[in-house]
Amino acid sequence: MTARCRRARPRMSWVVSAVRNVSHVEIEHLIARVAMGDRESFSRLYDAVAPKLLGVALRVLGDRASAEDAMQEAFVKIWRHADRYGVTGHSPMTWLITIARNTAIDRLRRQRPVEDIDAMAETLADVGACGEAAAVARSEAARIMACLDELEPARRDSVRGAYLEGRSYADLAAQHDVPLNTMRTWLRRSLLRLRECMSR
Amino acid sequence: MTEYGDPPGGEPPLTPEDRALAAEYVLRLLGPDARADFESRLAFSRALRTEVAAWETQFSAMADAEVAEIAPRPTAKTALMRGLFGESPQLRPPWWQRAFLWQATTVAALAAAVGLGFMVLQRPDGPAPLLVGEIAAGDDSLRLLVLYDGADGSLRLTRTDGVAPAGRVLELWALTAPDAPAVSLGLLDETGQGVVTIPPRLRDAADDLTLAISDEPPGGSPTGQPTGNVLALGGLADLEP
Repeated sequence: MTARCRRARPRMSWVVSAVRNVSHVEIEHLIARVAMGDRESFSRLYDAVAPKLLGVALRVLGDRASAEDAMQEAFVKIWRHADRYGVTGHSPMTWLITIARNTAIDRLRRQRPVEDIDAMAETLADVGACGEAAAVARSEAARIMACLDELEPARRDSVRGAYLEGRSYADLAAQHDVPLNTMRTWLRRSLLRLRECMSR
Repeated sequence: MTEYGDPPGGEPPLTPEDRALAAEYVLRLLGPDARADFESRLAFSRALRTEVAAWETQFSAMADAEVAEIAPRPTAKTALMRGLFGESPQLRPPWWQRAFLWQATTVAALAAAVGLGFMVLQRPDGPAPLLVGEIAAGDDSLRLLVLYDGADGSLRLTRTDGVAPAGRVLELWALTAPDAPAVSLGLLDETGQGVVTIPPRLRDAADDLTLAISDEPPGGSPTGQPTGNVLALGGLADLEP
């Protein structure tokens, strides 16, 4: 059993989200209120982050109607599992975007068994390590973008395609016209380079 | 960057293979079997969970930076709110009113009563009520046995599982009614043992109190009401025949 850990609150840095100028601290506060069943806070959270989550879902699904359905489904999970947010150790936008993206991918991969909602919530790693992830959230975007830039364009596109568009190895192999195993070797190598860059 | 440091004590360092697997897991590139295998390892490896969380953070940061916002149609929100809450304007009950919590509380309290019964019933008979209960997290990540002595209003606590999140303290609360403010009973000692006193005005209905534990900043809640996560809930049950 991992000790419950609360993420480090970025109180001092007041990390400002790109999302409608609502700070991460405010979003975190809203999630905490949602965990206690506060519908008004849920409504405000929706207003603050729905456009970003819809954008994420649309990139994966490529279709506005499906993306809106996925976004709504993601918000149902957010409502039901807001009380689990605290144990994930994530920054609020990581938690929200991960739910939206995974929900959209579940839709995309209908051939896969669809996870139930509880399994979905568990999919978010319970880091139990007291929020290192959140504490560095602000610098992450700049860091990963810089590190992606160090990859060859085709490999960078593969990594971005896998996350942002939910591409599978089969999709990526077809797109780059290489055998699937080659694709996997490529991508794994790129991921390790990416990681090596990010830990510098 | 701390999440890329050495894994927490006791675990061997992650191999590049592990790190690549964690990334593939986050990207949803693993097949069903590989995914299930990875998840079973994840359950036992904090280092691996930290690695997964780090990838989730990185990739979501990329999405946050790159993905344009798109305003949903207003009907999407209406449909969502109606789907979740129906048309009724009534709010979702707060956590301490939700039926399943009360059911869980009752079961836990009865289990604790059985467990502690022998011990407690051996006390000399007295007019003051003795109540026992358990305060537990839904997943048992935090559990305390509590014993209330009506003679002096003392509530004896023994933690049987779980610890405070790092940098936080555990604060115990009493709730008299769903809409009443919570009453702080004090902070839990790090030793896991302690005694707090139930305020006199709450003693008459001690068996109706809901006990809750939240995590709070060091020194306790700055507002006098729970500000952190409510980690565990419980109540007291009468042992007297």
